[in-house]
Amino acid sequence: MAISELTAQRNTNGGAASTSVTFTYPSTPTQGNLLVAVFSWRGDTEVTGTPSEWSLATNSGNGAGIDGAIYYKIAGASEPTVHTWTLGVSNKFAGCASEWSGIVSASPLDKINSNTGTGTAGTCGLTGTLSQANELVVAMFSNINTYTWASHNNGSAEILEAASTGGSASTRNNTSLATKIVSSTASVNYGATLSTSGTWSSAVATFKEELNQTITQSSLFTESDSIYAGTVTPGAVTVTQSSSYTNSATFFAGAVTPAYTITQSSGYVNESAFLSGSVTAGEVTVAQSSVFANDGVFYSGSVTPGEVTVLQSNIYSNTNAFYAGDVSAAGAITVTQDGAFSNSAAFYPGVVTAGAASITQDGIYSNSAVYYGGDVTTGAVDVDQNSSYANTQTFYPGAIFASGENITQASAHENAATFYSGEVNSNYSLLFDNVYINESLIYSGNLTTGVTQVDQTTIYENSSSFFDANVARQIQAAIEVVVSLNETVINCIYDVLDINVSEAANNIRCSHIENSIIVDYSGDFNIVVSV
Amino acid sequence: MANAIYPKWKEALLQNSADSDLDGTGSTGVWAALIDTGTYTYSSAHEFYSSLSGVVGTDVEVGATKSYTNGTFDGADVTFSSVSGATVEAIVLYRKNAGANTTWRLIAYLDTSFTGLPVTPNGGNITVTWNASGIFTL
Repeated sequence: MAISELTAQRNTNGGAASTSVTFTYPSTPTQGNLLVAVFSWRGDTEVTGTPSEWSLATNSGNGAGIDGAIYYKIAGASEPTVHTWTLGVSNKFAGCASEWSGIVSASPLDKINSNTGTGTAGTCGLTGTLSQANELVVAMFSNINTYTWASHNNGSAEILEAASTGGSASTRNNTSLATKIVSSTASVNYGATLSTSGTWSSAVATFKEELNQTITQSSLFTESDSIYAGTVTPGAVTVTQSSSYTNSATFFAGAVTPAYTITQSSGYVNESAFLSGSVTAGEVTVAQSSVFANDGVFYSGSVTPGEVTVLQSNIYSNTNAFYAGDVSAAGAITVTQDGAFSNSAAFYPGVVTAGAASITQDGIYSNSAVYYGGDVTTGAVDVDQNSSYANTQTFYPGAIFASGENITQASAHENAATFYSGEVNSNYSLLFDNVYINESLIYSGNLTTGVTQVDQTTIYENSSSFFDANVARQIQAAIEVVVSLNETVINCIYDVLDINVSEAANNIRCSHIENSIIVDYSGDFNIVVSV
Repeated sequence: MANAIYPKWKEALLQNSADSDLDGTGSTGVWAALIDTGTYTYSSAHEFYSSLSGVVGTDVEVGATKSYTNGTFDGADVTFSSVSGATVEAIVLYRKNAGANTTWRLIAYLDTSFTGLPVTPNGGNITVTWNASGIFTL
């Protein structure tokens, strides 16, 4: 909005000695307009009273009997027409007032300066660089006596001038108000010429133009195409989204049924809305507590890595890949998947098929159903397996508590380092269906078989220290026990005892201490053989 | 949030309820309000102007040159004069009438697909330029 003066509102006042300086606007000023009053007075007293909501822009004075000031105000509703200032001491005064539109209503004042001097050439001094290009510059020139100002320079123009009254001319003063609307931020220094050399005082203030703001609607809001409102109902509906989807209320507050497909063709950014709603696909409820980035279809597409946190409070069913991110179920578990996660059934509780994925668990994993193959990196994590555990791949350290069911290791367990540094507690059977290859580390851990047996269904290849282990129960070797380093010695023992091999296989308990083998046969006697 | 047509207005429209039409002017026209969503939160249950809060500046009428072709509502651009106050994040269209604002029907909540939003008023005018294709389509 361009700056413009309401010239009909110009007014001046010049009086004999008084403590009151009054300006009267011809009409009620318009709300939001800038009111400016400049005046000077003889003497070096101060202004002790200011009209309501007027502010001092700047003042000037040289201690030589002429002081001046520039005041301003943004007109309010029902703005008075009369405005009175009070001087500390009665003085002759003279001043001018005006009204301007197009000035910003909030903090309109920008730059100020003031100057004093004696002579005919008066200047206000540089304002310094203006904060914006379009501003109103108000310059006041005042002087002792009734000399007048002319030749205002640099494009400024005097709009009003007034002199005080009473007494001789030399006891009076004169005030000139000059203005200019500038369109650059360049510092300005306005001057004028006094008709006769004399003592003068000047001041300048700049006021910022009101800058219009614009809001532009970039696209038609099409209700019928919107996925921002209403419930998304089941069926064969497909919503194809060609731009970012931001919706907090409607879409996600509704139900999304399994038959519903959402195809997102660009980034999905919806932190608040999605998370506050629920997506219900059959039995599935996914509550998402962080940014969800999905450039595909949710139930048939993928969840991209890194940014997703899914707090799962119910069964999660997803037939496609689920990529990295935290999946927290019931709050205790964090599963980080580094690869494809294929879960066609249920996550909590249910079947987890990790495929090629790695799952890193940082907390307790509680699952009453079956957990299938894949790498499980548990770190220091406990895994509480309440049901059968079947895993064809590697299981890393941590404790496995198979309190309810078997743990079935369906293939070679190739984890010499980690598995056995953990603890395996099974109240039932541990079924190793294949060759168990671990010559050393099982004994650095604690194998506790609980109330039942350890069934070794194939050859158990442990040449050195199986019997040194902390095995408290009977070991039934379905085929044979091969203790390779001590086989000769054992056969010798059989000869000495005159028992057959089958009896030994079924009844002998052996252990060795340093170079001795202790054979406990039928519990009736002990034979110690030195090797 | 996102753009939304107030469901209650649609409900009124379908039933030809009083003050649901958008072809009036002045005291029965369509008006726009600047909204500070730090104060007001859209609700699909909101029906009348009195449910609004956080109105910034002085409401203005969406000009008389309105159109309704094929369900698309359009109107003249609007200028809010000398706006000061809280930051504006949304625009609400409503249908005024001569009665109390408890009967002025809320039509549309618009906070998406606008350049210039949010806007912090600087005391100057705020002009809203509607999209050339219209404001919204039912």
